Formats: sequence, structure tokens, C-alpha cells
Amino acid sequence: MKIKFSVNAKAIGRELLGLLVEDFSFAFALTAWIVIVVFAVPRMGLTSASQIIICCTGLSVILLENIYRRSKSD
Amino acid sequence: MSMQDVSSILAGFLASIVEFVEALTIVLAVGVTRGWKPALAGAALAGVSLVVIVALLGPYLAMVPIANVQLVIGALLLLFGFRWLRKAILRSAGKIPIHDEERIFREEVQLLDNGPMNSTASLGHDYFRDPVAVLASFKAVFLEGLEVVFIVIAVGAGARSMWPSAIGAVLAAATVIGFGLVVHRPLSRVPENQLKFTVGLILSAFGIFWIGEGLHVSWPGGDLSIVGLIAYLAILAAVCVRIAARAPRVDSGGAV
Repeated sequence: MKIKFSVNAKAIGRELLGLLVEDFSFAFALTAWIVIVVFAVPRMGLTSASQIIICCTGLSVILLENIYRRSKSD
Repeated sequence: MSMQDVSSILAGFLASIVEFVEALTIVLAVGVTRGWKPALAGAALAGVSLVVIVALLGPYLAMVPIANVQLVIGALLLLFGFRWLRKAILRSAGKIPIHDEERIFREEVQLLDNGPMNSTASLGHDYFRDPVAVLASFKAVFLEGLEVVFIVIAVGAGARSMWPSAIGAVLAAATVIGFGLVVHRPLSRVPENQLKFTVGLILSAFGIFWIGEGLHVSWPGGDLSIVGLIAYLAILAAVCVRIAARAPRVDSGGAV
């Protein structure tokens, strides 16, 4: 059971690491944006709708930029 | 059975069924893309964990900061979901081979088969071979299940008895599981990349929704706003596919 757990933990770690290894900038940008949305945006005193729009806009820009960059380089 | 008991059962049923449907959506998504055994294993693990937590903590559960749990799980789901969505977009645009991930997955499975687990040859081997799928399924069922526990406590506290609301929640679970058993086979016939596209959309939408819930954002339409988020992400993904398909190639040789 210990062996299984360690193998599974490694696979989960690989998957999370894979996100960083495949495209570090993508994973970093997403994580950074989530941190900003969780810690900084609520302190701005915005309405719920504004917070949702800011969150989704940032995520959209990150995805669009990454897809465009990857598509050009492959 | 009093009228108050009946209304508690109904309240518990209706409030819980929404949460169970949300959990089922992700378990189905994980099941059709990564296999039913890890999806069910994750769901079962979450169920057992919830039973243990309820048995150990009981009335103290109302003090657990659910917002923090939602934030962490939402962030992880968003990271997983966007990763899958990004790959599905690049595949749909023809930028990476459709079966690339299947090859990687097979190689990984083969690697695990040759590893120390093979010697055990137990039932758990099949069920826990894809720990990422187990984890995704576990997270969804655990968080939604935790919300159901809170609903049962809240409704039960109002009615001064936990049993009617708990019965309502159990009936809701049975209804949703029955529905899942009916729809899982037709879902398996949908082409794989389309499914992975959909799973990426669903996981990302739930991730955004739970982060918002953790921040106490007031979602327009409540839980129904998840449908709006899925629609928004679907439009965004469609735009991304067009952009990727039209992007001029520049030689670089970078990894995907």
C-alpha cells in the first residue's frame, strides 16, 4: 500500500509539474492571476460583477496569448 | 411523519440535488475521458472521507471555513481545466497530434505496469492507476459532498432534527446516481477530443465558480451561472481555435 501511495503521489506530482514543464509561463501566469484575484481584487471594493469580469478577462487574455504564441512556434 | 418533516425532506432533497448534479458532471467528465475506474475510485474515496469526517466531527462541521476549501479546490480545478482546454484547442487547430496524449498516457501506464505496483496485482491497481483522474473526481465529490453536509446541518438545525434533511439528501444522491448510470454509456460514444474539450470547459468553469464562491462573490443566478461560465469559455475556446488555425508559423521547435 505504501508503494502504491508513493507511485500515485509521484504521478500527481508529475501532472502538476507537467503543467509547469509543458509551458512554465502559462502555469505561472494562471497561478499569478489566481493569486491576484484572490488577494488583491477583493480589496479594491468592487462589486461582485466587476470581480467576475476582471477574473474572466485576465484568464481569457492568458489563454489567448498562450495559444497565439504556441501556434506560431509549432 | 409531520408536515415539517416532509418539508425538511423536500428542502434537503432539492438543495442537495443541485450539488450532486454538479459532482456527477465532473465524475462523468473524468469517467469518459480518463476511465470509469479511477473516476469511481475518486468518488468512492470522497464518499468514505465524508462519512469519516461527519462521524468524527459531527456538529463541529459548521465551523469549518468552507470558503478556504472552495478557493484551494477551485484554483486546482482551474489549473487542470485550463491545461486540458489549451491542449484540446491546439489539437482542434491541428497544432498538436490528436493522439499525442494517448501515446503519452499508454507509455505512462506501461511504465507503472513495469513498476513496483505490478507485483501487487490487486484490485486497487486498476482503480488507482490514473491518480490525476482519481484526484479530480475526489475533489469534486468531496467539495460538493461537504456542501451537502452543510445543507443537511442548516436545514436540520432549522427543523430541529437532522434525519428528515439527511433522508432528502440520500434520496437526491440516489436519483443523481441513477441518472448517471443511464447517461454514462451514450457519453462514451462521443469523439475523444470533443470530450476532452468539454471536460476542460467544465473543470475550468467549476474552478472559476468555486474561486468566486470562496471570495463570497454573488453569482447572478446562483449555481446556474456555471452554465453561463461554460458558454463563455466555449466561445473563448472557439475564438482560440480560429486564432491558432490562422496563426503564421515561425520556426522555433518549442515544446507544447
